[in-house]
Order: sequence, then structure tokens, then C-alpha cells
Amino acid sequence: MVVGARAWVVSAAVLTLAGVGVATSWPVTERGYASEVSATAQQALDAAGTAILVGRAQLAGDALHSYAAVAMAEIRESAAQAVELQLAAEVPGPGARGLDDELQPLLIATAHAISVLEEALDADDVPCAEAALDQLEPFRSALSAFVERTR
Amino acid sequence: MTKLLSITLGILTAIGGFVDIGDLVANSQTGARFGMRLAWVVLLGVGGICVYADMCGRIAAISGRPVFDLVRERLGPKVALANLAGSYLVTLMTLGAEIGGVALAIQLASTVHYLLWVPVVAAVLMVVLWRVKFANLERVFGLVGLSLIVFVVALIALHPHWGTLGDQATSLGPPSSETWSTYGFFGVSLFAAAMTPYEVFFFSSGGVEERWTRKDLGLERVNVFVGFPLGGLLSLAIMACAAVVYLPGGVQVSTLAQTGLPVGLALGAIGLIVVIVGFFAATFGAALETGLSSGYTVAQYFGWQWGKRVAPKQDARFFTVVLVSILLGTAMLLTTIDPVQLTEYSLIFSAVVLPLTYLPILVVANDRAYLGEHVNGRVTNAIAVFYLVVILLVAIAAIPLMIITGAGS
Repeated sequence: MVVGARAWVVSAAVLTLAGVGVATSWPVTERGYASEVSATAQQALDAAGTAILVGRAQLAGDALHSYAAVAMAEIRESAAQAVELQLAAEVPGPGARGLDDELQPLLIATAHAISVLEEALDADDVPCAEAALDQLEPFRSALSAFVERTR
Repeated sequence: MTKLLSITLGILTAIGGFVDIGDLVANSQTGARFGMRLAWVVLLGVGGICVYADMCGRIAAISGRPVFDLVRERLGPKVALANLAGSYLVTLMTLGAEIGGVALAIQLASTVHYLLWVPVVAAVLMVVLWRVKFANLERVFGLVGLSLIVFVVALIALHPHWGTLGDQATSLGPPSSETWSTYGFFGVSLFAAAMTPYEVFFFSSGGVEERWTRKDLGLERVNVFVGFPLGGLLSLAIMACAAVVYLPGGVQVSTLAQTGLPVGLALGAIGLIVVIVGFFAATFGAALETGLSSGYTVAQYFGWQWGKRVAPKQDARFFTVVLVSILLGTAMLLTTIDPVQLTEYSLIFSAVVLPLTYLPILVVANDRAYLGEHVNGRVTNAIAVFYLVVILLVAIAAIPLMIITGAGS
């Protein structure tokens, strides 16, 4: 029996859909979870690292105000999204709980420091911005170490 | 003197017009994650676009017809339809990404959210395409796009450790923080950014618009073999700036603001103003090119009147396709898809359809019925076949790499 091209296309489509269905409904393993939290931590690291660069540039008078404002708004959204992702992530077992306990407070603190920095830069409050930058630096280092460990 | 001016202008336009949103995003992301370790892909891609753009220019100058027109005649409507479908969809995605890039550039100058600028940009794009002459479109945005040279100046002002950049450029393989699959994924993106299909459609159709003849072959070659490689240098400068600023801190790039930030750190607010102008010109110029290319491909396949040299009322179907494509690109963005993500996907799908674009060009460039004595020589064919193999490998690897790496994440 000769199988027509249409049958092949339909079979391929059904198999693809089934594959996607299985992949998306498969329970998260501890290894998969570690990879997810690593990606979330990387997102927060990107936000913290860029915020430090933008903040320093603006304090040194090297940043265009509109450019810095847009960059900081994007950074704030990205840091907040990292917090949301971590809060919504399903912890697969007690072995993975430690990662969540370590990362969640770090993400929240980073997002808060970024918000404070953004407000201070917006209000031209130099001491407050410098304090926020000092606060962000250790968070950035901690996130970098976390990403390195969980990659 | 006029000839010299014309050559200089052509080269400058080619340099300024080389970089688009795909190059901005792919080079910056790659520099931040891999340093200069993928610089060789930019060089490979620039070589490829030079070889194939030269073929397209030659075809246009000798036959007086654009490549797409000849593809249908030479390879038949079925093969040409596959070429059309793949190329049009990718050009449409690229058009959406370019419009998003223009809106993001304006947002950086105004702080007004980019989504509010998208319809404005689309409207201005339509008016400019409708009213402005072809030569002026190409030259103005190509020349203003030259302001992206600010990345070269910024790189020098950042006082990088040149030895480290050189070591990265000569190391094969990913750094310890990355995997071979992400290395491959970003390699594919960079290659596709350099060889985006619309570039050859635009180049070939542009040659016909500007009424190239065999007398213009020299000028065409200078534009391609001098202008494009110098444009590739801008890409490398963008990559190097990201490598110097972001790689040491392990920070990845995902926004256009991050792409331009190294210039601000090196040159201050003035540098950022120049960067915004450069982003605007590069993306608006590319939006014009992709808008026209979408019309070129469809009109040339169906044998309609086409081009800016014809009055809009005489090639209404061509202009309708252009305007509808702009509307579709705008609609894509108004779904709130991130323009940078759209760019990333457009690059991967570009990679998939590359063989559909480049194989027919090679076939036509070897046909004596169209090119007479100007068909490809043995050396050109050897290089072109080598690139075709690379293009095939890239096309096969693109989707699996996207799935394995979660689109590079």
C-alpha cells in the first residue's frame, strides 16, 4: 500500500503535537528545576549588572536622561519578572527547596534595590542613588556566584 | 571627479546600510556572551553576502532584470513559489522587527513607550515609500547610518585589552560558561544576520531601479567588495563593545538600550545621541528596504509592474503589496511581541530559508542565456558552492538548535 504525502504530513503533525504535549506536561525534575532557577537568576544578574552601569553613567553625567530612564524602566520590569517567575515556579522536591530558599530573597532584594535606584536617579537624589548602587553590588556578586554554581 | 564622488557615495551608503536590527541584536548578544569567539562567523557571513550580492548585481546589470524575475523563468513556477513563500514570510518578519527597532530608537530619545510609536513609524514609512525617490531613500539612510561608526570610536575610547579580544577571536569554541549548542545557535543567528535574504532581493532590484548596465559593473563591485566588508567592521565593533562591557560581569544583552550603552560609557551623552540617530537610520533604512523587498518578490513572481521608477498608479499592485506588508508587520508588533525577540526569531527563520534564496541565484548566475560571457567563473563557482554547503548546514541546524537551547536562553 502506498502511503500518500498527506498521510505523512498528518502523522508528522500529530507526532509533533503529541511530543509538545508530553514535554509541557512532564513533571519538573530537580535537574530541570536547577536549570530554570539558573535562567531566572541570570535574568536578575543581567538587570543588576546593567542597572549598575546605567546608574554609574548617569551619576557621572555620561548618560542621556531619556536613554537612562528607558533603560532603567526595562531593567526594573525584567527584575520584577524574575521575582514573579521564581514565585510561580513549582519546586519539585525537598532537594530543590534549598535553591528556592536561597534565590527568592536575593531576587526580591535585587528588584527592590533597582526600584530605589530608578527613583533616586529620576529625582536626581545623588546620595540615595549612590546608596542603592552600593547595595546592588553585593547582590550582583551573589547572583553571579549562584548562576555559576547552578549552570 | 563625478565618478569618484559616485564611488565614494556608493561605498559610504553600502557601509551605512549594512547594519540592521538583526546585526545590532545578534552582534551585541554574541559579544556579551562569547566575547569575540564568534567574530569568524561575521567574517564568513560578510564573505558570503559579497559573493552572492555580486552575482545579483551582475545579473541585474547584464540582463536588466532582477533575480526573482529570472528565477521563475529559469526554474519554473513551483520552485519559484517555494522561494517566494519562504522569502516573503521571512522578509515580513524582518520588516516587523525593523519597524519595532525604529520605535525602540525613538523611545530611547523620547521615553514614550515604543508601542505608541509603532503606528506612527508605519505611517511615515508608507509616506516615504510612496513619495521619496529610490536613490534618495538609499543614500540618505545609508549615509546617516554611518553614525554607527560611533561604536568603533567607543571601542577605542573604552581602552580594551586588545590582546584579550584577539585571543577570544582566535579561540575556537565556547567559553566555559556556555555550551556548544548555544555557541552553534548564536553562530547561526550571526550568519543569518549577515546574509538576510532581503538584502540580495533589494540589491538586485535596486540595480534595475537605478538602471545599471554593464558599464556599472565596476561600481557595483566596489560597493560590494569594499562597502560590505567595511559594514561588517561596524558589526564587529558592536560585538567588541559588548564583549568589553558585559562579558566580564556575566551580563547578557536583551534590549536595544543595552546594545548602545557601551557607547554612553565611553563617550557620554553625546555618544548616546549619535547612537540613537544611528539606530534610527539603520532600522528605518532597513524597514524601507524590507518593505520594498516584500513588494519586489511578489510583483516579480507574478510578472506585475514594479518599482519606484514607475508611478504608483501604474504599479498599484506592487504598492498594495508593500503597504499591506507594512500593515502586517505593524500588526505583528501590536500583539506586543518584544521586537528584540521578533528579531531573534526572524534571524532563525531566515537561516532556514537561506537555501531557497541562494541556490536559484547560483543557477541563474551560471546561465549563459542571461549573462553571456559574464557567467560565474570557476573560482567564483567554487566559492559559491562552498557557501551553499555552509548555508545548507546552517539551514538544517537552525531549528534543532533553537529547540535545544530554548532560543539561546
